[in-house]
Amino acid sequence: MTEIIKILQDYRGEGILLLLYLAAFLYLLLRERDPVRRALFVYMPATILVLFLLPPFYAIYSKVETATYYRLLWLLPMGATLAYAGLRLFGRHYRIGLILLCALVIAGGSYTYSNPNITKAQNRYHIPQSVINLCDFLKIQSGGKRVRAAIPGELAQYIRQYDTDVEMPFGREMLVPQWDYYNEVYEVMEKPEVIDAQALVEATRNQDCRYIVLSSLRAIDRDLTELGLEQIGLIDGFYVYEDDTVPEQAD
Amino acid sequence: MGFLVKLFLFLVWAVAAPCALGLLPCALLPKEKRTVSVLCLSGYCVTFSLFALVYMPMLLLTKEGRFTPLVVAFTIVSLAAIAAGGVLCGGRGGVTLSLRKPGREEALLWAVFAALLLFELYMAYTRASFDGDDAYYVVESVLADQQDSMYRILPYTGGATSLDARHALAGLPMWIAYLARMTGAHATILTHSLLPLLLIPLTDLAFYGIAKRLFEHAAYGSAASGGRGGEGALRCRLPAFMIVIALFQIFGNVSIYTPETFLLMRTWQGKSVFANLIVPVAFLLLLWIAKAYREQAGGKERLFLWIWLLCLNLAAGLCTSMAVALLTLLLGAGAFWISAANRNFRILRDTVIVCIPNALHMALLLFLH
Repeated sequence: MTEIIKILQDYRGEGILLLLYLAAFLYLLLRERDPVRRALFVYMPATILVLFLLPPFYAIYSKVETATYYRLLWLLPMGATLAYAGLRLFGRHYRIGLILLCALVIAGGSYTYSNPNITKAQNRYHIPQSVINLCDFLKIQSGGKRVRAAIPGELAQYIRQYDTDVEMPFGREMLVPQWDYYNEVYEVMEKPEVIDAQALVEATRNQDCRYIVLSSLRAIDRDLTELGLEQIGLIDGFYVYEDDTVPEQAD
Repeated sequence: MGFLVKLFLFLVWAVAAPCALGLLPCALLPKEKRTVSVLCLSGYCVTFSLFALVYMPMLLLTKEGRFTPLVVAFTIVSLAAIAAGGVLCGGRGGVTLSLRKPGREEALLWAVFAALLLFELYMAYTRASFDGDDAYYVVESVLADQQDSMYRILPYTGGATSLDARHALAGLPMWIAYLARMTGAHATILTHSLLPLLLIPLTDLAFYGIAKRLFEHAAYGSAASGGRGGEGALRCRLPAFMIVIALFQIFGNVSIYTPETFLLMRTWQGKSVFANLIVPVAFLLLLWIAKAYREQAGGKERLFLWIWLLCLNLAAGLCTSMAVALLTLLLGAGAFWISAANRNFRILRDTVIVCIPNALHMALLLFLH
């Protein structure tokens, strides 16, 4: 039960929209007389909510998935209930009702576009422009062939959204700690504060990476050119190295 | 191809073709109920369900999971269905454009709603929202289009893999790849820049359908609709409802879990389409079915509603793996209570019948898992 309550609290988040919904729900429970509307705005959501709160139901759901249990709450018609109940409550004075409802939603909600994960788009792909510049550069260097490149984590999850001809030794699966994967290139490239250049080159050669991309801000104990690699470009703050001991990818 | 040409092709294949697919079921409706909003909403459900029916066998029964045959097959099936729907609807009076001049206050409220919607669309186009899941879903679309492979390549790194059934059965990224192939647009541009311009208004269209039924003067009587203040005031409640819905979306980011957060930050992902299109349409259909049975609407109208609900179930399977279970729960609970309200348990029986594809989908998922 504690877990279910925690899921409900996480879903409710920082605002009072869930409380507003419950108030609208209670109002319709007490005042709605139309049987169909009672069925869909009161009894149906109540059934779903009761099921959601039942530990045996949670136990059954968890046999398939646990992380998505909150999605049961998507079945509650929150927005429609709030809007309908609010306008119904104020009857002919719906103008006052509308203003009050809008004020409550604005004050009790959270403005989506102030979320830190929303930023001004740099292009129509909605991915960092440096990813596009880097992929285009690799495409030219490889003569349009498929390439395999070790790419820093901050770019890795975007690269293949632009060009799937760029293969990588690790991608997003390494960036989610709870998934607990292991990758030898990731271990030496992303984890240490100062990169061990020798270990990095050994790992990238083991994983057939002809290209290595490193942020110019990243600390490394030796220049990769001392280990036989060639620095072939600096793209938006990222050095690109080519290792010609690794054969090109077959198409 | 220039951006404007791609935009035009997007309007053809992502807007006009799905809406035109609505002609087929809408032929069952009397002309006055064959409205543009019903045509569009039912059309997208038919599109997704047809896509699911063509996609599943091609994914599971072909060894390599090549994408091009799916593009060819779905295009042929779509065009045939559009042609059949056109013939059937054309012979029965076409589609109703229920345009009327709104009162001053009503027009003002609609203008406020339009401004809010345009704001959402502007932000969707000009703002990028980061979501790690895109490294999977968006790349699957890009892979299908660029490498002609469905779910046989690891999206994160590019290595070969066996079929990942849990994700593959929810094939919405393949529909996006289909649009990319038909329009020539990069699948990522299509996903992040263009699809929100389509999916956000579609969500609002579903809520418009709900509001229309809630504030219908004749439907349940004005008192039940909270309908004091005359016809004009009743009409104003529809745009007022839509304004609250739009604000609820814009200020709904109270946590990362709400449908509103998904709508504006992960619009293109199947889970968002489920929460923000499939669920509202299910609610709309439950309202409509209850009314149709209460008013003893014609058999063809009821058949239309069951066909739409069947398509909605098939469409849910395309969105996300748990969608079929969740939608079955919603429809089961809803149908039970409206059956009780109408004292007519045929509604529940027929709902169970149209939910059979959901049971099959879940069985397939468990079998392949």
